[in-house]
Amino acid sequence: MSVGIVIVTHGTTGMALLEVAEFILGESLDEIRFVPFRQSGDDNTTAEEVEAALAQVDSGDGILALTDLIGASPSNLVAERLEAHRGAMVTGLNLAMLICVWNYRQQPLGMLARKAADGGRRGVKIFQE
Amino acid sequence: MISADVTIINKLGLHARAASRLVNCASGFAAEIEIVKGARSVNAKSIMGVLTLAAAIGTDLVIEADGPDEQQALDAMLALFKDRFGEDE
Repeated sequence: MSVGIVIVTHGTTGMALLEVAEFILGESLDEIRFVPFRQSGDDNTTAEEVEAALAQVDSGDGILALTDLIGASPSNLVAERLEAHRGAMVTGLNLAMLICVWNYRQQPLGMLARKAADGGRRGVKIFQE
Repeated sequence: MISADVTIINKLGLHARAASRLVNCASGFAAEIEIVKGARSVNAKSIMGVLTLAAAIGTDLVIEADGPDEQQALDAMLALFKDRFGEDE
């Protein structure tokens, strides 16, 4: 059993996070598919590109999509397609969330999505003297 | 349950890569392993738990292990700290 994991972010933010996570963890995270969201006039990321990525990782155990900003186009594009893939989306991707997801990637979708959200939140703390 | 005191001696402390190594090591044992820093205790098999300790060089910790292979687990964890998580300094 394995949930398919996709990252969709503005620009190459998601790829940079993947590269850093690979360095920290000392292993390849190439099971995670990344889709850069482009919106630059002629060269726009299409719904078909997002759909192709989701379909590619969907092996029947559901998909988890990690996106950067709630309410923004990458999240909105993914949200429209979750139902067809029995998927879940977690917004607010950060490095803590990504490392946590990789750690728990063998968990079923519901649990994995909760771990993602929880891991992301645990990475945000105020340090003040 | 057994436990041991340990002090972080590698220059970068329990940073991300070191935490990842520690979690990998801990995950290889059946025993429940906790790392205690002052009043806080985290699961040694949870990378976010370990990272949130934010433990720098010189920090004193207690490692607790509880389970069938607790002695091997504790020995392996102590060896990692002593080896500076494989780092040069």
